[in-house]
Amino acid sequence: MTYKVIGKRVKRVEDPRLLTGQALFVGDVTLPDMLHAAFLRSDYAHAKLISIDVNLALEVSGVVAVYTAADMGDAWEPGPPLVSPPPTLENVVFNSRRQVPLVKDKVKHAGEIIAVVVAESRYIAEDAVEEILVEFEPLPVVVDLEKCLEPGSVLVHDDLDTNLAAHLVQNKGDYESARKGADLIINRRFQLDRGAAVAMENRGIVADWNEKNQHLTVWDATQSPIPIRNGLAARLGLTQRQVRVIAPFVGGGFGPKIMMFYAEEMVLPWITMKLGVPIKWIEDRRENFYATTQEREQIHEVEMALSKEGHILGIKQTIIHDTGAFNPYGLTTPLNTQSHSMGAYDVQNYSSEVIVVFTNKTIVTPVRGAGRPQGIYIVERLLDIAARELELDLMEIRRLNFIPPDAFPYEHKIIDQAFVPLILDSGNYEPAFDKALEMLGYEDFIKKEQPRLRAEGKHVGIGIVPFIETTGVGPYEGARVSVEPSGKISAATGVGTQGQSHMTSFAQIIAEHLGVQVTDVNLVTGDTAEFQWGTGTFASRGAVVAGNAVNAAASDVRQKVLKLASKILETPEKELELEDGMVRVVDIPDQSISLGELALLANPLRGAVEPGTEPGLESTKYFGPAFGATAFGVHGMILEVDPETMMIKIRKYITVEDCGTMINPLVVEGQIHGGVSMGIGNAYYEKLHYDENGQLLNANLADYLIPGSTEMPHIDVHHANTPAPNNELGTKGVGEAGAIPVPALFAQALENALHDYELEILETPLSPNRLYELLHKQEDPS
Amino acid sequence: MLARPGLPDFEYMKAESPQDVFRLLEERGGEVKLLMGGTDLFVQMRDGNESAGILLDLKYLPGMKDISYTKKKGIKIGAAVTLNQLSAHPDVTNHFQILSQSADTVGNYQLRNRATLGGNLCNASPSADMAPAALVLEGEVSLSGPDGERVMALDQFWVGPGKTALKEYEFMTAVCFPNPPSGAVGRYLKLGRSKMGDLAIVGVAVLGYPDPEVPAGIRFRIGINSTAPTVYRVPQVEELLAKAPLSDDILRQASGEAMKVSAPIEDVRATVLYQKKMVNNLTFKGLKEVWSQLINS
Repeated sequence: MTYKVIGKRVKRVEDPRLLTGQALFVGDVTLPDMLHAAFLRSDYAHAKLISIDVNLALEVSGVVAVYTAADMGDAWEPGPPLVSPPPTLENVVFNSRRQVPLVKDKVKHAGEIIAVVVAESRYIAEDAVEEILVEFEPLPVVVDLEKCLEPGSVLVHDDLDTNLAAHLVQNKGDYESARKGADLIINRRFQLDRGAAVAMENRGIVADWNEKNQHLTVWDATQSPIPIRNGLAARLGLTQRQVRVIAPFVGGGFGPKIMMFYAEEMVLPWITMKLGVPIKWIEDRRENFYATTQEREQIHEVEMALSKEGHILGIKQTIIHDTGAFNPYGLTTPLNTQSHSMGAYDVQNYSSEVIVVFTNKTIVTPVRGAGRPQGIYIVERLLDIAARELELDLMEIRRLNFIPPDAFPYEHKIIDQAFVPLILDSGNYEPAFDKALEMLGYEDFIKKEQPRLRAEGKHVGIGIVPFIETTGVGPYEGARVSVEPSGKISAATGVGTQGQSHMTSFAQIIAEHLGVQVTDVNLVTGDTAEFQWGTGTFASRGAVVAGNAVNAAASDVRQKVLKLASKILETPEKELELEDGMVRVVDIPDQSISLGELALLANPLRGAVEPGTEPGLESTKYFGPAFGATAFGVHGMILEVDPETMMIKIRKYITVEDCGTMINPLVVEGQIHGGVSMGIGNAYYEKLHYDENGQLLNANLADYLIPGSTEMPHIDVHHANTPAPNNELGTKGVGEAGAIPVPALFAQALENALHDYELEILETPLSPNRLYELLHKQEDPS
Repeated sequence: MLARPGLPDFEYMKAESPQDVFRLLEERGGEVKLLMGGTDLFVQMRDGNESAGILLDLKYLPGMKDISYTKKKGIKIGAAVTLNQLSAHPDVTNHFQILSQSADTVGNYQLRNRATLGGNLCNASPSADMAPAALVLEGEVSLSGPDGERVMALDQFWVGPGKTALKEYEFMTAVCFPNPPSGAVGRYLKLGRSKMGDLAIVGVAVLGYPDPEVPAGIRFRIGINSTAPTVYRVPQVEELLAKAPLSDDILRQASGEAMKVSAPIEDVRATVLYQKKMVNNLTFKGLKEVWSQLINS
């Protein structure tokens, strides 16, 4: 299908507002009589709460109230299970333990909330927090993923006799039989550590109960305003109509803002209903490090069986996944790890055990990539190791194992986060892979440039890693598109916006159907008063699920426009075209009517609307895919390492991205750039250092280093296009893609650069320091 | 655990004369913090590690922002001269290039518009980027106090992490550097985890100059940060280098000696092993670069 507007590099229409500081964020919301909240958080990662004395805090001038768990009475309850284990999985152990609004008896991770102060200003509230006296009884702390399972271990949850949060096994084919026929068995242990999402905007909430209206409005920097609205209504005994949740512009989501509920999201609405005045809280960076969810900590014991030609015969794996102190997000992340542990390859025999553990650390929920980078890391590492053992070319072994194009739709058989056996809808991997090799100049580099560089004593390595990304899962999203009498288009969808360019790309879809300018579309996202059905922006699903809902609604409006215009212009629909905000008779431009005039005629003040029709040129449509759309990509880089310091310089970075039909290539490239920067952080800079007491040692941006513009390479992006067969637009998600292959890519390129050290990398994230240690373990510097 | 939404309230005062400073310190000593660029102080205050009722700004005292150079005496740099000024001032770039180099490694451009030489030195951070160069240039600090002015060699100035020889109510007014020996070449190598904004894991300043009096024909001065309670010179290593004709082996041996002297502590940013090895590697690299430059010039 050829499009006029879809697929064009349209500049983002939201940027002028964002760049000039005119866009609304939660921090900008200021209401009359608004009070401010500050939280007392536990320094201890594990401690019994003996007593709290808030009297001194209440005496601070300007303090209105101080609340603890005891004050909440029946309103105190843990958060809802946001995602339960898939009902389709058999023999699952799942011990659901959810986060609480205020700690009642025992602290389970540092940063949990003990009390909240409400005051006339945040400054006063902060000062008063210091006046709260708390008696703790510190308890031994459990942080280690394996030790926590040992008999007699300290328990995070006393009502469980174990720190096991979940256990499940998924099998495909028959690994043990496959193993018997193998020429090579590789066995490795991988250690993957934690990072933070570090959105530029921290979390923030303004909650406003209007007693006279009996209505609650909550501005929330969330990725999921509709579920938050529904959940708040249920908890607070209100109807959904009485609650409006607005997620205005949000300065980065990356996963942690999908949580329902964070403690603060439970506490602030409860307080505003108690006091009858608006309450505001904006998270600071330190709170963000302790209280906002994190990801990626896993230990893998993996075995890969191969034929001597390099065919993967099977993979067997045990994953220990750290969920932190609670597991509100169910099994989403480890399920994603499983579904990506076979990568882009045709693996017929797979046996995978997931052990999820509770530790006294910050809660784990998906962070951009959501378990996928770990899966891709281990399969790609194993292939690198196998290729070396079998003396095969690193690229050849991948080509050998790719799922072939005629195997799609490919039944992966593993149940993933969509709750159904994963089906890879479409793909054409080898041409994209070859393109990546060509862009990087792989042959030339290996044969000519690298030998020359090595002769000069330089350590320059190359890496190429392919990956899949399951995207666009259900359940559904919806959209409403409406032509206004002005000729402008108003539209709304339930997903929120955290930088995904919805105002532009969804407007492009609408402009395509209705023949208007992209700037003529006014799109609202993330406001439950504007659109109240849907789930949210996560899992790389906006462009697929909401995008196709917008497409369906816009297409329907187009039909209504054509039908009405046909009648008025006395011309068959097929002879009409929509262009420049007008409906014209093809080849007779004088015979036309504007969309605005049609909108007026469709909503008459007198006369009668024809039976069986609706007023207006408006449509609301939904899209819910039976299963997701799986994207594919290849990242490659040439990396120089200084063996003296292990500092790196990325000489070249390329990606080939197949996310099906692109609505806007500029937006896709932006997602990739952002994802790669996050991936580079995950691979070589960012690691959360918890000590044995559960204390986060680098809870600030001076010590927890995120890569900046100086660490970002220029990125060449090539777009391949295998349209998704199961949605009208043919789109696949791309939001997380950029981050997924980067740790595996770094490992491969570093090993290649440091070939003379015979290095085998089995962990991520690395750092110059860590890499140096791996190579010089034996040396004594004293 | 306390959240910190921003700076607490404080009163800002601008000192017009040294007497202003002493008077205020006398009257309200406990409440007052002296302010230069504020790039460390504000962060510390925001994090609750420092508090102050009054911030007394010293930047506008006479001479604090001046740079004066004479062929005879060398350079006098006011304590409030910013790092971006050091980076660009012709008298600095022409005669004390290693100071400009060092200044360029600190934080980022915006921060260097505020950060001052005096602040960097008085903060007495073991990782101070200006300190190794200031040490090898054998600078002297001018201090002003109620009892008058005094001058002190920089190697006497730091007494521990965050601790200086400044007496109560005393503050730094300027740093003087004599002209480096004729033909001197300097290099500051900083290792941070990122190219911009990180603190030094290790920083090494090497100054080399021709000296026919010693067997090596060249003398080196070496200043190192981030790997001991204070920034330090390594005189034993400098002597070793002077004693014999220079070779890669001698440079290696000297770097190894420097590594032995270093005494880093482990933190989340770097392990002891890595820091020690980096002292070795950066010292070698610095020596080698300076030596090559001296031979070629």
